[in-house]
Amino acid sequence: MDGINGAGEIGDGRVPGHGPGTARSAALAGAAGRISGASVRERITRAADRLASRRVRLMEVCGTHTMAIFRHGIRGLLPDCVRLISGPGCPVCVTDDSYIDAAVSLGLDGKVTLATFGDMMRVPGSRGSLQDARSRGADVHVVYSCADALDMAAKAPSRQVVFLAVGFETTAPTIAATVIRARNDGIRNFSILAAHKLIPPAMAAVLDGGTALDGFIAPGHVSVVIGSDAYLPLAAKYRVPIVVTGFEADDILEGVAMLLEQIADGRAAVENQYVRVVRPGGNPAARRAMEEVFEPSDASWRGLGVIPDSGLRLRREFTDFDAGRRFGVAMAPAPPPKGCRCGDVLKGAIDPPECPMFGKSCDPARPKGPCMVSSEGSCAAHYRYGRVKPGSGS
Amino acid sequence: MCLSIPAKLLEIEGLRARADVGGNVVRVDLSLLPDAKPGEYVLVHAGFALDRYQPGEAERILGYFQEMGMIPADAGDEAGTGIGTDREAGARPG
Repeated sequence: MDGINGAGEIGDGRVPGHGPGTARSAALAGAAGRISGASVRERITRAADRLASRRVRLMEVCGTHTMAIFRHGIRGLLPDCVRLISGPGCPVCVTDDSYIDAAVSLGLDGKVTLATFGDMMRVPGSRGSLQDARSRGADVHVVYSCADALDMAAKAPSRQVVFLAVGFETTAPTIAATVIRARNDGIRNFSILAAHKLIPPAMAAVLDGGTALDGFIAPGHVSVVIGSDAYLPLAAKYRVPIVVTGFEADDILEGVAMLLEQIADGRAAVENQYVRVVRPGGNPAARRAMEEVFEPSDASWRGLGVIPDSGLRLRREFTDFDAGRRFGVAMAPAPPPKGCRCGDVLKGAIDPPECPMFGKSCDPARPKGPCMVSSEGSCAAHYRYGRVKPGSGS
Repeated sequence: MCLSIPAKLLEIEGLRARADVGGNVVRVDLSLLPDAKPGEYVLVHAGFALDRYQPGEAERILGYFQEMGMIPADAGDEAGTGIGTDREAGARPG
């Protein structure tokens, strides 16, 4: 990935009118060697021409897109009138402080083993992170899969294992399938602390919150589960173009082209750029598992507040697996760290460098806010890649 | 984070499979893709297969994610619990 081949590979096909630093961005793009679709960039130029001088704001709501956009220098390949904004696309970044605090308290009580995805370890709560809790004696294990946590419980029947269940629709079915297995296998010492979030309600909340947007680059792997049709009500209600998009540079550029073409045409449709992988109905078995185990509930998003029906809680038949009930976990709202503007970053209201803490008191080595903790957070992506092209395209 | 990686299913026993991810063998749960067959390429997220890839697509995507540094070039570990050797880096929600 460090084998930068230079800007020459794509230099002739660049979209005119972008700011300084493009050579470096283009070099990054060339590094992956994937930007071959001159015709896609021509489509972008043509659509931008049709939009005349109108400025267009497009939001991606997927951390993998955020990383890929920075990594490839996509912002520098777009005309000046097109601005890409990173929305609430990282499940770690949108997890509320109160959840981290509750998990930390549960761990420090010493009665349970916590199992968590690795990204959650360093997220600071108001009383420290899970990593801090581990150093203070809490039994915290990093697992790759919820199924691994269930295996831990099966092997140690006298120990209560609590899985910290966070993630979007991509992850929720894997937790649902594990809870179903726990019930079927009669594993009583396993439970989950659920804080799942749903993407379409968050997209609606961003628009309801007054963020001016002209289109969404919809996530690829969330859509593998929920299907591209899941966005139809949003596009209809808000008259907003939505394009489900893959992760390679050409995919993202084509997704942008499709959005600009819709905007220029005055259309607001759901289109699927990632037809190679995403189907209209998603994965029916995954959706069934999710629906069997969970029901929609209001959820608190960092920066966005409480969004109705944007989370998942265990259905009544599965409340035996609710760690919150089993251990009487209370989630008390906690204020964000003083000065941290992750909330405004997640809403697209500001770019990370506009936060007074960015790169000063908050960086990837000592993150204060969750958008800097996760490698897919907007702040971390800006810190790592964004500064090669200061101030442009963002 | 919703990163899903391509894996080629090697052998299946019930709803559990062993799969090849870039030359390493990992364990994959097929609860959410119960009709998967050996030899097929599947998207794996957090240990579960979520869908199929066309063969050419799977190899391309694996190469791309490795090139992007999103997953280690030696993705997979024999214990089958994670992607790669750095489990804390490899375990991500989505």
